[in-house]
Amino acid sequence: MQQQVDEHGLPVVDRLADFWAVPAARREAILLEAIAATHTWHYARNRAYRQAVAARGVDAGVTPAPDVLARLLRPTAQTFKSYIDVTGSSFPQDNPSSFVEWLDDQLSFDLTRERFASLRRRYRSLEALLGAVEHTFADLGLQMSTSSGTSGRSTIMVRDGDSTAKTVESFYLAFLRYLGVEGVQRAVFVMPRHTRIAMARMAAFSVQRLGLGDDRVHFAIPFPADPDKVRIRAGRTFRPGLSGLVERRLWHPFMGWMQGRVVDPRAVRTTVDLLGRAEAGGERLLLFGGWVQLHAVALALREAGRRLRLAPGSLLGTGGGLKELYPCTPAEIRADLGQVITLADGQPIPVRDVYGMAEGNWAAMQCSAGSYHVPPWIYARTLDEDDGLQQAADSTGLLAFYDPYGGGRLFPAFFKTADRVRLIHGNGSGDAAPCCLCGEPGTYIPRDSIQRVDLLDEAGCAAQI
Amino acid sequence: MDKQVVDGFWLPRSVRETLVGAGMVYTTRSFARGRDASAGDEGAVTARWPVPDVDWWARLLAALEANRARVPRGEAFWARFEAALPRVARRFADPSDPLHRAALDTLPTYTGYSEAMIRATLGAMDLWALDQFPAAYRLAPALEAATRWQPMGDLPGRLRFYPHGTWERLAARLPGSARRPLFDAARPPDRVIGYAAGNVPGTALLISFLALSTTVGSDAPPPVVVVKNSRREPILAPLLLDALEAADPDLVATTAVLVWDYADGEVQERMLGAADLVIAAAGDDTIAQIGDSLRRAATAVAGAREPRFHRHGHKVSFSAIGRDVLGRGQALDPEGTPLLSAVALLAALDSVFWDQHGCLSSRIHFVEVGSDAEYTPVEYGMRLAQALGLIAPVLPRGAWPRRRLHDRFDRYKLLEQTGKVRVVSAYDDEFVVILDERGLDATGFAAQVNECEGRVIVVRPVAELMEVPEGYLKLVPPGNLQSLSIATGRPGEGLTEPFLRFAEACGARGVTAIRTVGRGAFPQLAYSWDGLVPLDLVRRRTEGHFTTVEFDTPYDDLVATYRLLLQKGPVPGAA
Repeated sequence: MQQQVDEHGLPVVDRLADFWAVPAARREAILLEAIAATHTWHYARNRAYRQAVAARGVDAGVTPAPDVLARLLRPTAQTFKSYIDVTGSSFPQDNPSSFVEWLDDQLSFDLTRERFASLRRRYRSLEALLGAVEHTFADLGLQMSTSSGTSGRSTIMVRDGDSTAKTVESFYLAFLRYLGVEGVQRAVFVMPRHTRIAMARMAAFSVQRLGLGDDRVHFAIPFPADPDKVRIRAGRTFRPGLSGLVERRLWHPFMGWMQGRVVDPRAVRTTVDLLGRAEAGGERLLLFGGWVQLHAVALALREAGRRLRLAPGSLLGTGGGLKELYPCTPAEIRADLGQVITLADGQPIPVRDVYGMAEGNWAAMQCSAGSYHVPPWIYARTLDEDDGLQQAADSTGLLAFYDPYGGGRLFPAFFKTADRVRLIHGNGSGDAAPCCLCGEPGTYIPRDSIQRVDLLDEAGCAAQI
Repeated sequence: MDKQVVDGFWLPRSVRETLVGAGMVYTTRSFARGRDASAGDEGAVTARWPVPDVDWWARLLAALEANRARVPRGEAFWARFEAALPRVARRFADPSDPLHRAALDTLPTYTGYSEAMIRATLGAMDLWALDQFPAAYRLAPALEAATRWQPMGDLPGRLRFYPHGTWERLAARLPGSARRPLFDAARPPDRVIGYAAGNVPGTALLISFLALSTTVGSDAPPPVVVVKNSRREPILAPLLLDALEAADPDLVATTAVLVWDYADGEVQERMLGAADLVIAAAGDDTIAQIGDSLRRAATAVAGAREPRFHRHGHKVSFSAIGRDVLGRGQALDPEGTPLLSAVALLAALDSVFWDQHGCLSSRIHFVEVGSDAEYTPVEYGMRLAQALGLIAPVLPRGAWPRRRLHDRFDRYKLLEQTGKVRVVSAYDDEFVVILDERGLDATGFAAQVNECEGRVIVVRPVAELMEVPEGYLKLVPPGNLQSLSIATGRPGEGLTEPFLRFAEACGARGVTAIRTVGRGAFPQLAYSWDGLVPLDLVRRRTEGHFTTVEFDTPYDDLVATYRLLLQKGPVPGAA
């Protein structure tokens, strides 16, 4: 691997894939050097980041010691959601100028405030606002994406062309390495072609890099899912006033009805048809969808009395966990899928989960042994309860990650997540923790060890109101 | 038994000897650093309590009942109780006493609170002013308390009653009704069932003492008192009851502290069916569950009257700092102690005790904005942070994750760009102090109140103190409000009309106790606790809540509190 530095001061890495070939100790040194350089570069340019870390006593130059590294982390639960607190509203479309000012603070380059004037005073929807921002800054290649948005308080992320390309490469490499999807001949996504949900978008982009033509990549949900529709359908946050009343009383039940009666059945039908086509053609298929959607496909096949046998190498992928109340667990859904979709040899089709988040330019893919593998260009650690970085080879705590190569010039992708995980650095030699059972060395999160942290443990007689 | 396995229950010796044999089955629960643990975990403390069969509970009630016949009655009982408690308090305060050591060996680990905080509590038990009970029981409030503040007889302070029903509110204003007594005739309870929850030490004791105080002014024996102990703090009550028994066995011969399951319908209904007074200090859901069980228990017995039920649900408390104690250059005493420093220190203590896990811990400090001659809210916030910094080594924070402090710090630091928020503390401080001038709606205010936990204090400027009830307290469900700690007044000044109007507005919003800053952690049992006064233990009245002001001279009481706490030792600078 080259050891030059680029204009950001980062050690030059020709290809992310090269990280797999670097010995663990050397890799760690490169990443720590890159984290320090990334910090320094963004500290000088990114107001929000500088404010956050300077308040913790960090200045422009850092040595990558654990106690310093821990202070560079910003909470995913706050950073790209902070527009709500800063602008005082969950609906940035009502105050676009405040929103773009907030956005400008989050980025390490200047959005040129004079251009804010071209935005309207308000937009009818979040989708319209995000579209307008993309249009206004089209020359920068900005792409606005969101978290799943079911709470109605979405994380709003921005990527430019460079960071999108990096993220796609990151996902693509992980898909190949951990899911083994090379040679897939048809890909079906049980989601809309047009979505702003970051994880879904990046997964779709990455699979498209496999070189499949448009006629081989299918999106089974026929309607676009913009963030406003996702919010209203989830029914947890509505606009204030009359429009909120209309959303609550009219659109929310209507969308629920549409979803149950029209969208879901159509998506299931389309998916089942495509699965049938893949079976008939003996094609290696990748089917990607949420747990609930995959389960609907399994139930539809069971009801129709069908049992599909797909070509070896076919795979079902999922992600995002179960965000809504659902009567079945992922294990039950897996079992139901295995009964109706098998490989040609009769083995249940592999179902692999993908763990990631909107703020991440990477995802941890579940291997054949059920572990989630963190790509080697990510420096991942867990945090103890006092936010100290844990260095043990096998530790449990909140997942923290540093992605010095993924954030590009936009922001330093150093985050403290809200997920409690067990993290193992498996090097497969000496006293280090064991490698994953799949044989892949590196950092991984064992199956079933990801837990959303409940932040409040009521102990005394103080009320939560 | 291993020294780290302690009894989380207590029975009088005579009862224990007959009812707890070798065959008794126990259950245990272990905690380390305030968190659930396994018995074998390093440093874990395990508490145990018996799990008897259903009939055992009936035998227990009968045994305690039998003891009532042989113990002193009425005033004689209370006089002996009052005399014994200071002796026990001295033992707890004495580091060489095994009781003191037993408490310090177990309570910090089990509850998670710092050893110093537990030690400070053990050293301040005599602040539970039992001598005020006789005066509290002599009160005879009339219906006019529903229209204006009433003096409290031999107790300092004022009392006001807020009827909950519209008709009762109107009736209180009818000509001739003012003198009508608010309470009916006294009927001291024979059997009191209590419920204690949470990890703040001493709740079971508080309930027991209140129940036993019903002997004041009567010639009845003490009631049978059975308290369901908290699984999260079952230790202090058995230790103290042991000590009381050693001092005078008659005083606790009718009291038992045990643990049973709310979900165990048979035991629950058997206990509640025997009660004529139920006191529950627990979560709102648990209280609702007890209420359901009470109704079932009452309907199971034909003609049974539902017992009095005192609900002490989870609450929130606040502080209010008036501009008259914020004058620049004002000194507390001739030695020149800066008044602002004293006020900030006392107000800090109200938020520090039990790390805001207690319902009495103040969450938000409202600070009145003054002229150039007064310190500003941000200066108050800075002095408050200074005070918290001084307190931190003396009364360290419990074993709670710092992550929560960091998350609050980060969140409010982000908000500084609005120009209306300023984080006054530093990232590494063991507390967070924030000045927040943003307007908030009810949802936003509730969220902010909930964030103030584990030593997170928000300072909110108010143009006038009256903005506290009219702008903020109205955003909180009245049933969730508890205390207001206040710093206001001038030397020698009594309760002025403007102050009483302010207090009245706070009471109308649901505040049930107004006390001087610094007293938050040491409430006076003779005053209103969640809208109930001691008379409520022995009498019935119309639905409503009491609000009490616990002082006559706000400023002088503040000075006295400062001196008292210096003398007691829980504040920096103490001897």
